[in-house]
Amino acid sequence: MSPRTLLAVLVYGGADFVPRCVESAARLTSDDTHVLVLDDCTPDEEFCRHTAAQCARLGVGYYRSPRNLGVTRNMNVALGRAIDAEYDYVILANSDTIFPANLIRSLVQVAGSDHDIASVTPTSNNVSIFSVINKDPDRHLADVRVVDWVSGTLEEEFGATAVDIPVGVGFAMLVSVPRLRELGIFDPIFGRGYCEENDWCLRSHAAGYRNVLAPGAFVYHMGNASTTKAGIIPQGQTTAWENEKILDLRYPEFRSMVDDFVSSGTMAEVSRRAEHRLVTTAARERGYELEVTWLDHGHDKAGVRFVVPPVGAPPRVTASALGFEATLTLPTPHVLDELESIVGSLPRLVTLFDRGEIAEQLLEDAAGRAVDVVDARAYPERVSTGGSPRTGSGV
Amino acid sequence: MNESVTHMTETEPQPSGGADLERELHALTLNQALVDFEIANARVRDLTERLIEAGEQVRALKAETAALKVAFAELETLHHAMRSSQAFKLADRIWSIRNALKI
Repeated sequence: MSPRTLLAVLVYGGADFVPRCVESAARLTSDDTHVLVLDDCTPDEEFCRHTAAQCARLGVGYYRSPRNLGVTRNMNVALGRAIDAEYDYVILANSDTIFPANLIRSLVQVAGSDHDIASVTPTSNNVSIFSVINKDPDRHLADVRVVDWVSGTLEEEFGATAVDIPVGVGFAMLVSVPRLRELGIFDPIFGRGYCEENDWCLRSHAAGYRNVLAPGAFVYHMGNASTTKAGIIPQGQTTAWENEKILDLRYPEFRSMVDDFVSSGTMAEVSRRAEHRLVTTAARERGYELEVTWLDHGHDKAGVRFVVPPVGAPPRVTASALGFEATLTLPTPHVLDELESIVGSLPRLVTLFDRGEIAEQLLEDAAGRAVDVVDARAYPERVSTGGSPRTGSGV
Repeated sequence: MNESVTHMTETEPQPSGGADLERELHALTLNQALVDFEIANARVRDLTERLIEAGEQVRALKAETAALKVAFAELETLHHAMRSSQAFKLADRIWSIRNALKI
């Protein structure tokens, strides 16, 4: 029998981002997965009407609390519902998010891999120290098709890998309902929010359970939108400091657990693998351009771009796609051959902006091959276009 | 409160229907509010007891500090009297000479 999962999206205003979040969540509805929008008594009745109508249209549950509960208590409504309705898992999620199509499958697979797992957090562009960095997530990632692609690509890389972390992050966190029954729900001492999920994770850790990251699932997270709007923290702040003090009092070892995790290099390796996979997969699927230059001439350009300095041994290529960036250190100076081996194809265009041994080697390697080369250096020399000569423009 | 908003849960395909869902969640919210109230009360009682205990400790420490201050003042007076006596001054001068002569 498949596990039953409740995806609870906590809402308090946010007409700019809630609709797309709910749309992305509604796709995940199935016989075993139910979606519930918990509106914490948003005062804007027009917003509430609109959200309720959207939920009704999409076949998603909607509940507006009769009075404002704050994030902690609103999350407890979700947790209580999960216990009462005998779900196996409950996912607590912010509404400034976009969920990928593989979210439930990925998180449940990770959670089911070990009965000692109490919580599972997906990776994201904005999930504290567990983030995969993106240069401009709101521009590149705020689209459900992109989120689907990113998450699917990371699932290919990581599968159901579970990375042990000190605490989960409540922006989109799966909680095991059996563990919930055993350990209790969130502590209302955290008031209107922040740190309540950390407290629960530390409670579970003290009881011998694991909190893990699922790098094979990616959720876009705008960040602070829902909590700033609710007035839980002032603009510009990233946490509620009075709640952090409660954590420190209860769990004096917490900060050193976080330091140990950061020092271990685990997340750096996860990020490196994620970025490498995303960029090379994008290059393979969409094609890419290579620039030989000291300066990045088009860092705002769309598309997949590989940039290599004109000198340097070994060649270090900075590859970027959809705001993600990876560094590829090539074993030989034959940049074209190495990139073809990594990506599976040649770049569709090579632009030489600066002089140097790598540029010269490239010109030599490109001769007779199906790759356009534009020599945009001062004093342009020879160029090739898949074997046919083409004049470049001097800079 | 606009009742049409809170009751717009009629069409979702949850295991229990929209109206049932709302009823269940109302009951859940109420129940949790009561539990939260009990927890808050228990915490207030616990913190009050600790505050009283801390207050008693502070009073005891203050009394001890006051007694120690009085004893210190008496000892300081005695010490000053000893240093002012002719016998002490003579002994002090003898020690200074000895130290100067390195005896």
